[in-house]
Amino acid sequence: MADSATSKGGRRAALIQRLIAEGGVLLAILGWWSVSRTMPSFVLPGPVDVLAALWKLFSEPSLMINTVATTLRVVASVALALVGGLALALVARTVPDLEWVILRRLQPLLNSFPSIGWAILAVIWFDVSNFSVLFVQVVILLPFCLINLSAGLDEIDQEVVEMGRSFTRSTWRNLTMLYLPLLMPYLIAALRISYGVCWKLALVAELFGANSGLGYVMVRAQYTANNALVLATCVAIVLLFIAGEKLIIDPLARRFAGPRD
Amino acid sequence: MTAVADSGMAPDDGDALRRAARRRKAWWANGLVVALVGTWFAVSPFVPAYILPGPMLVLQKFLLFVTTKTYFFHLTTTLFHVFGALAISLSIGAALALAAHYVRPTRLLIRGRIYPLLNSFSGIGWAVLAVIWFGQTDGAVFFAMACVLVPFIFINLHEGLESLDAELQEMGRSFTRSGLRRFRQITLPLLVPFGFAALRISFGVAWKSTLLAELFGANRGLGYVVNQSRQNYETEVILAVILWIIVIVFAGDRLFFKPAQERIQRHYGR
Amino acid sequence: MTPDTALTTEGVRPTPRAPAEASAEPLIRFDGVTLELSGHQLYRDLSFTVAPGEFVCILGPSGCGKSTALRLLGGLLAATAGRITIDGETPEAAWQRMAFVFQSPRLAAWRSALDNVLLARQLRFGEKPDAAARKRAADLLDLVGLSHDTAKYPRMLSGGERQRVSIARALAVDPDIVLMDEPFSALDPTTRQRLRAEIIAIWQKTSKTVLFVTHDVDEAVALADRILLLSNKPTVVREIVRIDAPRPRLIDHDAELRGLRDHLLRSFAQMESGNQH
Repeated sequence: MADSATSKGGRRAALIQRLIAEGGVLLAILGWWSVSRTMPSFVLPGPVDVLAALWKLFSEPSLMINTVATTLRVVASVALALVGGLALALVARTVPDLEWVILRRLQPLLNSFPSIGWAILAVIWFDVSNFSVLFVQVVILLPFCLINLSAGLDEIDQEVVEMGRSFTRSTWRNLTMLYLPLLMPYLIAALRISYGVCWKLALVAELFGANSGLGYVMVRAQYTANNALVLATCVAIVLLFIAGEKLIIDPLARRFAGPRD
Repeated sequence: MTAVADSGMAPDDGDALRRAARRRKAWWANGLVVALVGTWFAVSPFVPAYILPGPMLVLQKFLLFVTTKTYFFHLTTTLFHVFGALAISLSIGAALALAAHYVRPTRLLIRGRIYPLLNSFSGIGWAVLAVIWFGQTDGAVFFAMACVLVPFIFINLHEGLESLDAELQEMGRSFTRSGLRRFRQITLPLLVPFGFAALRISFGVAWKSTLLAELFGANRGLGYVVNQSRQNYETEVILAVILWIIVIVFAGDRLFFKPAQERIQRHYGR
Repeated sequence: MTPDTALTTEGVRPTPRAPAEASAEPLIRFDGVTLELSGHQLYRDLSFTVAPGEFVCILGPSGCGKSTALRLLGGLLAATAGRITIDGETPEAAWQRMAFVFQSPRLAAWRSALDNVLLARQLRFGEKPDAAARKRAADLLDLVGLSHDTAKYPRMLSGGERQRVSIARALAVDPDIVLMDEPFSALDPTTRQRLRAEIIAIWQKTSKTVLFVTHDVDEAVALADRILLLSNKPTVVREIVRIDAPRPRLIDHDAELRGLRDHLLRSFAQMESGNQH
């Protein structure tokens, strides 16, 4: 396969793929545009309307506040979930008696709990607040982080510990030169997964539990049948997700977890 | 456990120690569950029912879903939605994965454009759009759920197709030039573990996302019940629905998917 | 100069009977075959012939593209220039007359030993695995010494047993030519010895033409009617060695075979040192 990519035929095939991909996207947008012209905006707003609404989300202060709020909550939730997941994974690892409590009771429970359930319960328990949103997001991200990080800790097995000890008795050196590099790919994977899940989740968490944020904007837009804004919030989420992944997570992964694929 | 094995004890002693350790783990695990339910029993009488309904009240509502016709109807509706959406998503996901693999020119379009869009688009966005386009119908629920499930199924089958054992493929080619026979006798069996893994993941996701899809897009089903109960402050019903979903997802995974996947891995794995 | 004339090698007996490829029309003919893969010349003007019923070993240093010759012949790969014919036909037309035994057994993990043998005919002829087909497959497993293991899955078989299944699978399509690509190189020495003896027995019983790739000098000397010694890349036939000693051959007890082995090992060493530059 490496051969075909460098050869002339390979380049031609790559070009055709590119044409079909970009052409397909263009065609979809054109189709959307032409269909939207025959329909009222509350059924299918055109691409231009959505683009205008999207621009407002990133420029008009009253709307932009919501975009920023959601972004900050996502970042905070991911950080908290990573710390919490690591703490739980470490406890499960170092206190054998608690291993099953965490990995066989808590983790499956959190994993099978529906997100909308948390969203509703959070409002009942914590009212409409930042805490409510953070609670929902962290509690949903926690099992993802826990699974990845405990898999990472498994990587640091007895043999590795022994090897490290044969060279040095310094815990600090073992930690920084052996354990952390071994754990890093799993940490990055946990970060990547929870970051992606969190953006998709943001709208659900803010649906009932917030009076700011993109989820809140979407609910209000839905009530007023402002579908351009509904779609714009969804697109904004996609864009913010991609931006964060390309600008922060991918470089982090390249730096700490080696080249992917 | 490795520490026990390395300490040079006779294997019988090691086994006994391991068994004791397992017993203690189980004791802690089950003890915690009992303690939590106990606390729930103890605390709930002093808290308003809409904040924390008692466990018996929740259990009573939980049973309503099999004893009364209306609630049972909602449960079976959701069942219908879940399995319908799984069937639809499996077909679409498989079609996309096969196209991306066998019709090379479409690869970038599917893998690099359609998949990332579906994968990063919020489920709730699809649910809202589905209601606008299809009204409160089964179609709306299926659409929203399929949009959520298709990327999971696609990526699993895609990875499966990309990692097909090249040696076995060449063996097939040495025996026949018929692509159809090779696909049926070699490719398809090689894909079974990936397809099943996709199904296992999607089963959990489907049950969790059906609430969301039905909350907006249906006037029946568990999601609809949750929305009604939310407006009526019937937290016990909400908890009962959540309990149903946890039980179904957990039991389905442990009793069916996990053992079945282990069998399939053994049978089809190398 | 055709390679067939470059035959004089010390330690080889003068041929008492007429060489097979001189009397009969060769079954396989490589004629000036050149192969380029992603800009690298793998073969340059590779020529040789194989007579019907002959057991030919292709011997060469690792990385000289021995297995590639089999792939070209089996039509799994196309040559850049030159002609390959099987009974006058191109590989594209004659691929059905051949069957492969690969270095790793390449068995379908989800099929029992018997079902793996059946797979060959299902693939090649689209045949239904009916009672008659199952009987034939069982007979083949019997031929390779696995009559008691027909229901076992590959994961329950040893490396040698798996390779036996793959030999039975190749024989299942009743090929004129069996192409064997270092089939015993991953096995332990004892199993390797046993399988060598068995493959000779099977070859003598079935009178197939065998093209056997190996990098093991002893193996080639023990098995072959003729050895094609390949050079480093770009590969040509460096030497052709005919061996008429009767089988089973005990190399250590036969001065001529020992001399031949030493000669081949020296050629190998030469090529290895040539590789350094």
